[in-house]
Amino acid sequence: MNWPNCSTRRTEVPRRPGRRAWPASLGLVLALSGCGSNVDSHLSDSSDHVSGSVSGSESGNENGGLSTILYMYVGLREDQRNRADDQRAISLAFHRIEQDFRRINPGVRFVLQFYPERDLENELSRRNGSGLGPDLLLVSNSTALRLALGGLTRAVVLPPDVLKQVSPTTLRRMKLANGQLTALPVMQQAQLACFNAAKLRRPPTTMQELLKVSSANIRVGLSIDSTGLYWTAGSLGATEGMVQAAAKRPLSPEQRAGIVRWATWLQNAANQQRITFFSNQQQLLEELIAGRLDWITCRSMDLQRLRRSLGPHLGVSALPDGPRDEASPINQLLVIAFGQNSSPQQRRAAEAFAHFSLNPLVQRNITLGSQEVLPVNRFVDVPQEGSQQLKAMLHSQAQSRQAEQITLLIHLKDPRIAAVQTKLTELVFGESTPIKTANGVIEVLEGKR
Amino acid sequence: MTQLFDELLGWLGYLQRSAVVVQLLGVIAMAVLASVVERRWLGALQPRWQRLLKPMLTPLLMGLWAVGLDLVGQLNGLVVFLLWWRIGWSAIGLLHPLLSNLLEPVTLYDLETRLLRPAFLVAAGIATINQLDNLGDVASISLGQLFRVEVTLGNLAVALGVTYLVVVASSLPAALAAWSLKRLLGTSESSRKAMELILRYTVVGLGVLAVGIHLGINPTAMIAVAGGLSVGLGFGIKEIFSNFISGIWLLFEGSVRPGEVLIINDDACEVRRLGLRATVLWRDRDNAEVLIPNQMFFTDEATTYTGTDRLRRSEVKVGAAYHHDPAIVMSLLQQTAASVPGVLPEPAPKALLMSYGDSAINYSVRFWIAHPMDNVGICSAVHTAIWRAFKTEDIEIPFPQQVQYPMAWPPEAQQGFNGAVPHSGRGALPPPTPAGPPIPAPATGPATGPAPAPGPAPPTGLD
Repeated sequence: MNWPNCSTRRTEVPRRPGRRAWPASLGLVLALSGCGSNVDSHLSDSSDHVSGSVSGSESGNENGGLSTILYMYVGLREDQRNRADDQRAISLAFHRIEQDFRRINPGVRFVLQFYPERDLENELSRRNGSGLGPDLLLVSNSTALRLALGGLTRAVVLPPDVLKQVSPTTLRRMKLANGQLTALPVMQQAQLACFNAAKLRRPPTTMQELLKVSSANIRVGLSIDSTGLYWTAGSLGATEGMVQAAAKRPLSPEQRAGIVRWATWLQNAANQQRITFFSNQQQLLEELIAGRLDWITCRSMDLQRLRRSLGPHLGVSALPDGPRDEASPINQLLVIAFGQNSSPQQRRAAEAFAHFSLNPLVQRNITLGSQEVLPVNRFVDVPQEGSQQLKAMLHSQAQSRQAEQITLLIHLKDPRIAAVQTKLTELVFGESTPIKTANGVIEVLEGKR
Repeated sequence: MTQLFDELLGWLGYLQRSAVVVQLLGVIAMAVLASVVERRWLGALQPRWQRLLKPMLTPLLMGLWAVGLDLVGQLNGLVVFLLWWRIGWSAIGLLHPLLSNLLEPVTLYDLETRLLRPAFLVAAGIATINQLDNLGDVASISLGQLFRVEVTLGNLAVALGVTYLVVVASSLPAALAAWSLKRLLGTSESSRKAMELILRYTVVGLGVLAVGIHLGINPTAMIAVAGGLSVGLGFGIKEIFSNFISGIWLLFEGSVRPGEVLIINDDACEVRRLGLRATVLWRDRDNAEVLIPNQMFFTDEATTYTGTDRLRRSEVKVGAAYHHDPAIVMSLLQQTAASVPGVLPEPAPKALLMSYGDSAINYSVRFWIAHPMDNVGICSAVHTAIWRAFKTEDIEIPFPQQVQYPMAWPPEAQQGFNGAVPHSGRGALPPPTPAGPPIPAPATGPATGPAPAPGPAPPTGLD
């Protein structure tokens, strides 16, 4: 995300106390810590709130000027782990939302901490036992589900007027089998096609065109990761069969043929001289930046990094559709999950912030400011005039509806994902035939293997 | 700095959580309770039990608190975390008796106070920050710019830590390297110590350079700093720099090295350490350590007994009565000195007739000793041996005597007085006293000539 503004990670900057001012400093420290008067002093139903504001006397300035400090963990992708500029950009972006939020709740301060998403389980396991865990987590939907399944975050009950702003399908992606909501979706990122505009003037819009440009000296990179490759299933008409198999329902011959067609295309692509499969998204980005690839699949949140490297040569488009259907990208969600250690006051402030982040104005500002994420609030219209990037993202959002069914049927920790991945890898490396792979994938999805 | 302060304030938000407050208050209460128990009840036990129980008391109570919290279903991770660190701190104390069997007290003291305990505290501090915050985030807090290079808290902490470690922990590797070189080249002990110090300075210098490079300061900036420093050195810290350079120069020159013996204010002193600013010498006479700025050795004259060898020629002076044959006396002196332990047989002791004094013939016996610092003890032994030898050989050691007697005033009043006494004409003089036997009095009168003493008097000698 790339919003301008601010320069510090901690966003409220208190004055440094002088020597003479130590009594005042002590008062400030106590006030900021909320010692004494507000330690779990407001025991009330956490669902009692209104959108975007901390109810009643819990608001900091209404509570004798005491600040409520919220600890927010921000999940980083692996490639952002050691990138201070990315973290700074996220801080600045967050600061803008926080500023708006603090206009309504001036007594709430945020402390951001950045962790790679894969480390979050360890961090939460370690801190939750001490009472030092976060109040909020801004992570991808897959991480939020993983943390919830591990019992590291708490389920949240939100009022219907908040939930109705998000599409039921999107919400269902964040629910556990028992119906509990693990996190609140706040933004959506889109899977796109990123290319070197200096080499490729017009991006391919169909799968056939993609093969065609690859034969015309354009180097194409695809991710072998099954989630990252799922968009091709839609373009080649395999999604229906995949959903049917995942739901453990019998497949029609047409549906089965769709999966075979998909596998055949993948093998055909693997045999192309200028189409290369990479094991993860990170490698694709690096290859494009290094100029060794000309067309790759990317995520909207990679755009800032790519733009820094490629500048005006970065081209962005929606993923190519197929002869039968549209592409089916699985678009990840950015969600707010809730920690287990919050005091009642912190809990209310955290939920108020989550509601606030769904506010149409906030959603719209984030989208237009960053041009990297899309709103999840279904009542927000994003003006796409003049921005090719936003247009492509909205197109991707529309395409992603094809993948909604499969995301509801298969959760991230489902072992079937890894098994399908293995089948696809064998296919790409020529160890398996398309028919054998298709049958294997169906059996895996049906849970027979 | 604002960011750092903001970060620290941010940690206070954890105190808004009752689970955290309960854990911390419990730990504080346990620490207070341990202190009370220690003062009231532990003091009544035998010292052996006190030594055993004292380090275990606080961890034990903290452990009980952690178990108690767990039993009532409350969070106790913070208590367990603090408990482990408290146990670690106690373990360092328990290590002391074990290490004291392996290391000398001074080395052990240095190890504990300069390395083990500081390292433990730093590790505990880092672990605590890691509990409260993301260590990477804290390390990336910017503190400002140094020579256009952004200095972060992490960079600074690493730089300070490495510098401290290099300064403190370089002594052992340097000592080992110097010892190896000594074995290889067959150099003297003082050379070994000099080499050790030079190696240490080199390691510290390289460490500081590495820290500068780690911080990202380019060599041009370092040269600029050196230029600026040289101007500063000319004014502000001239003395310090002068002492430092003098110390290094002396090491290379080899005139003042650890183990050397120098004469400082007529006292033989052994060089113990050559520091950055001053040299530490040990004075045997009163077991004092004398700190002398290095540049004093550089600019002032100094006498050493260990420049080319460690031998020292010493001397004892004694008087014998006129009626003894000097040849016999000198022979006796030579034999006596040679018989004293510590006096080297070669070069052999030599006795000399130095002068004819008022009451005695003055002799001197000169002899060589192997260790300059032993001079006073050996001289004392030689003096004692001479006294015994003279007594055995019936050689008399004369000494001047004074006879004091009171005078009457005016002199005419004194019985038997028939000479004139000069009159000072100043003030009143004491009244005449009646004649009587001579009595000791503070007022001195004319002394008589030398009178032979009935027995030998103590000889005089050097030092």
